[in-house]
Amino acid sequence: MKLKITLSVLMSSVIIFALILAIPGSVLVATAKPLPPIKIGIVQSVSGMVSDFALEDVEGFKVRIDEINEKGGVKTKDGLRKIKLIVRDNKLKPDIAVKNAKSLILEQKCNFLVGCISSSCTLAVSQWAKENKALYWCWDARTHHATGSRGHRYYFRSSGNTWMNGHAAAYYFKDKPYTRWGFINPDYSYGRSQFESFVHGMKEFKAGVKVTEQWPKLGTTDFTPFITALMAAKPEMIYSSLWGTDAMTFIKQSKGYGLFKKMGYVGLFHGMPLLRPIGQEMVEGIYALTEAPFVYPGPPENRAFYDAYKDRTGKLPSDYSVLGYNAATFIVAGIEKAGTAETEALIDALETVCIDTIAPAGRICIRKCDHQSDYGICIGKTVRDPKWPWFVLKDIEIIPGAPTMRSCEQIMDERAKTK
Amino acid sequence: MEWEDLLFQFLSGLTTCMIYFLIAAGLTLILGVLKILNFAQGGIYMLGAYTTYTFMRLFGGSNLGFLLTLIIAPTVVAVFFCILEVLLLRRFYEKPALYVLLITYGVLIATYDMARMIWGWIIKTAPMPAMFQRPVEIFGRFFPLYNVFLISMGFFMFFLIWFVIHKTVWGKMMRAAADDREMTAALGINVPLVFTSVFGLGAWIAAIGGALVAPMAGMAADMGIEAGIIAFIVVVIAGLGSLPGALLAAFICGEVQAFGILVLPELAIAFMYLVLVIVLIVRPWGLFGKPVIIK
Repeated sequence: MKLKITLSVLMSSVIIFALILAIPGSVLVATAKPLPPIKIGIVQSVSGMVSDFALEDVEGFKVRIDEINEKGGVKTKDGLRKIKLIVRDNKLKPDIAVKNAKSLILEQKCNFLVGCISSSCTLAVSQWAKENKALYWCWDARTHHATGSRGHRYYFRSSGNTWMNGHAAAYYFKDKPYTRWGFINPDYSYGRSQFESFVHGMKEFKAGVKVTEQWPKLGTTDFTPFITALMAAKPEMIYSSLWGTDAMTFIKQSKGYGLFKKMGYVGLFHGMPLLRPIGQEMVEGIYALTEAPFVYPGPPENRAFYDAYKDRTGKLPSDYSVLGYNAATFIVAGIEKAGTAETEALIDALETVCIDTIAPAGRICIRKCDHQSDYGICIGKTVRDPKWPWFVLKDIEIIPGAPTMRSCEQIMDERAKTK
Repeated sequence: MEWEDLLFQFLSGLTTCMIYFLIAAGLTLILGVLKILNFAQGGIYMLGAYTTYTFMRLFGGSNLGFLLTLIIAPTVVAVFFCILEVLLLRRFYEKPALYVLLITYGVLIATYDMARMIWGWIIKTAPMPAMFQRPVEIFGRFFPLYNVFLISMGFFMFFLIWFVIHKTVWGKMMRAAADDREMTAALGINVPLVFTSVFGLGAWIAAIGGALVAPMAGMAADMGIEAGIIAFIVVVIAGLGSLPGALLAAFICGEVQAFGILVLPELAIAFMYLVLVIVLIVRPWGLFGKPVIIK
């Protein structure tokens, strides 16, 4: 009895096993399996203090990826492959960012990583990517060390960096008649980096001298003592890397002291993320530096991007959206050039890729020696615009990225010393 | 450096002082009477600023609109926190102090998320009311009229609170409940109601602080966390529960920072903490506090 049951069980399992082996073969012949999507892991601080801007990076990126997916996907050697995005929140903490990176690459099996708005996050993820030979594309975090002394083969950056930003402003003002500079920057790594970068550029291009520096902490609600201290030193021009609520608060409070009537002001990254919320309380005639000023409708590429972004998200894009969009454009161009998303081949392709970004910046390229893009920055003066509830920039000039970057020799020297 | 520069630096420090005072005064009051550490104080200040933003948008940036907002917005916030006190905090007064600490800390985090949910991610600012849009001229230089208003309001609030505590029956009940709550209850006074009213008053002061700051600053949901830290530093320097101490402590912090940055701007972030450290070493019970004798 037992033997009969065992035999029948054995027979049926053999038959079932044979059927299982047979079927896939026939299915393969009948239909072509779609290619698996390319998975991009995004590490970004979507919660916390900078989440508004961080989300705009992501949205800009998504707009480009959606455009590609709607056409069927990105072109690779094997055919069209769609792109899938997996986003992880690093809560502005570098250790969580590294956890995100591990999870995205090792568990979720993403092909590569994109992300970071904060410098500490980008350095942490960069270190992990280097150790694990995973490609990591930075779209926004600024510390120049990431492509400088701590750069490596697996790290790319599409935005500018603190070295370039600071030198850009100094480069622009070197021929202008201002010599006495006052500084106000938030007292943390970003503010310190931007300050050092401008001061170095100021010395290099002989743009002037520093008469005062002020260091309010991030999130200061009351700038009044800093304002009066700045004014007491009587600078001709103020250079500020304040952003977010700090920039808004500083400008509102400085108006009451007549600061902008007595001296000029140059605000780094005083673009849409500031102009939009501050609205009519902004001041006319101050300099603003931004990578992507609001120009709408503008040239056809502008209008196309702005309209696409507005259709997909319901609002007009800001400077950060453009950064995300550029990152995606670079990556897609790299995949098409390499014909694959496989890390080493993709890196080789990306090292020399160029893209056309929206006006006014034009064409930007990755530099092979350090994987830093030569994305310049624009400078303009604020002015009221009856068409919009926010101020826009006029007399926009582009400061190209190349003259503000350190030479390849300098960077390779630094990297050798850091080891 | 001319002496007008020093005068202006002093006035700036006074502005900072009043903001610090308004955040800290409510905390010290709640601490003195209810004997609890209200970690949520910073969150109340933040909500005061945000509700002011909403009401100013509702009424427009007119002078009357601003006046109405100053009356309504902090009251709304204070009432909300009175309800919270009755429903939530009240149960924990008799329990070990750690419970209240955790609960108020939880409330602080909740206010942060609440603000993000109601008002969203983008930074906001309230419009500057029309009557303050011109500066005042002092010795040939401009000083914002709004700062003058803020400083006056700070002094006004100090005297108002002092008056309430020392010259009204309500104040007497507060002081009695602070000294000996059992005896006060035995005398037929509704101590829980007194406590709720004090909590409401403390919340109202913080909300007024936020309301006054709203037109002159940008606001983000996390401004409450920063404000809460400032409130605690001021209260510790002042001496727990002391109102005049809070004003003096706020004044010292404001002026030390204002003049410190003229000499050592690099240390701007540290001045307040330096004052705190010195006070804790020299007089750990605070400027106006009483030393606690542990038997």
